[in-house]
Amino acid sequence: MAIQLQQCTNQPYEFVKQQMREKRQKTSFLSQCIESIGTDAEMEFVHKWAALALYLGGADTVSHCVHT
Amino acid sequence: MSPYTDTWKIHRKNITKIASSNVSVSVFDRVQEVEAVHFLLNVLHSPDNLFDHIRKEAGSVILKITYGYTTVSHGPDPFVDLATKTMVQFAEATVPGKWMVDVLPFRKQVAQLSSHMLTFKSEIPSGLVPWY
Repeated sequence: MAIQLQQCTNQPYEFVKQQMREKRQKTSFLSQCIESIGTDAEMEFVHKWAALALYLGGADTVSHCVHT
Repeated sequence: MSPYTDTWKIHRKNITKIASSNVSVSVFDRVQEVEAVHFLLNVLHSPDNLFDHIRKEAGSVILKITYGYTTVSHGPDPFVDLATKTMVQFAEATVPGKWMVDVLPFRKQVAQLSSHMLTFKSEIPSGLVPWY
């Protein structure tokens, strides 16, 4: 379970970092955060989990509302 | 789940920047329109998997907003599936009283201990372990 959560946090984050390295990122919550505040280790952690909260919150609530 | 700390305040500040006023939210109207069209096309294509399409539409919108990631337009998407799987596991882990460790916190140590004992056990011949 812990591995699953780690994967869910890091994979999309690495995706955005990769895109930014190649200078072809689209404007998004995370790319804006990284640009405006920077990427030291502590801030990286904060951004990662803020993005995860949005991601899981958004991806899950609607479908659960429909299911129940 | 997060306590009221400086970290939490930064979270809120960042999220408020993109999702507070009508103007900042209206940026995402276009994203929602595009995904709605994808959703309708998918329903037309395979009406039996309606719930999968709904899940994918919601996931696609939030992935686009948060990470700028464009999902696969047809069929399952790896990131949407990852979110679903994680949330299913999270829901299971947070059911009150489902796990013995919620009621008996020392059970956490017992789990560690028993895993140690199992390694220990596997190192000696099975006939020499009378209590199992």
